[in-house]
Amino acid sequence: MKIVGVAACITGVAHTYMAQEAIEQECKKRGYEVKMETQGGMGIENELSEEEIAAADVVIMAVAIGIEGEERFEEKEDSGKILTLNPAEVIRNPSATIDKALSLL
Amino acid sequence: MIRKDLVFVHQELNCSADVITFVAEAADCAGLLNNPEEFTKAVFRRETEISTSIGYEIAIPHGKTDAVKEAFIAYIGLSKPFEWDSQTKDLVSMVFLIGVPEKNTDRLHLKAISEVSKKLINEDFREKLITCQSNEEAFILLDSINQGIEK
Repeated sequence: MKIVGVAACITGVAHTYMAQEAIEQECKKRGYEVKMETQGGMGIENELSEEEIAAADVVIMAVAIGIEGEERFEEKEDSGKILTLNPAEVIRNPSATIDKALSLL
Repeated sequence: MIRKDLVFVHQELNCSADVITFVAEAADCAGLLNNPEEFTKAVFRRETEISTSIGYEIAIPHGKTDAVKEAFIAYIGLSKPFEWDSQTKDLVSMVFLIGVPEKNTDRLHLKAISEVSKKLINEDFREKLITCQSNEEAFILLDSINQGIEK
């Protein structure tokens, strides 16, 4: 299983990075491959390439704001493989988040 | 980044407003604020938009405003958990209050704050933190997170 995604909150200070960590930890626990891009106060980090996105089974958007480079995800959007949630919700329920993402497959 | 004078355990505070006011005073004493009142207002404003309680008995109120001179993160361990807000009804026993300047934020500070935030997702870490008996002990634990950060 390969999961990628983007985390971005309003102030870009804490929630962004906690959501990233929550998803990464849960995926590692389950033995899934994971890469979460963050768009926060430090700009874009851990940036996802077109190839990485294309290779992913499912995409998790833990976002509360519009993100940069949204067009990279158009194909996944068209095939209904994107789960969008508020970062706070992801932090609260990492396991339920991954379950919900898998239900898109 | 984590400052000794902004780490407090066993605080007897009974509501989120008291915690926010308490930290604003401490941060002002530490010379990190231009305007403590404005900072407090910014934190309350953010809080009313959406609760910063994140579950796990943790709240991370924050203010991004010009009233902040230098970015900081303060930790307050509560002697008795209380309901953080009426929205979520979550009980909170650990509060991380973050202040960040509106512009020209030091990247290193942001990195430090993000590393601490990430660590909170880890259950073992939370357990360690909540059992700290002194400000000093909690400070050493929190500070250890940032030892490895590249300058």
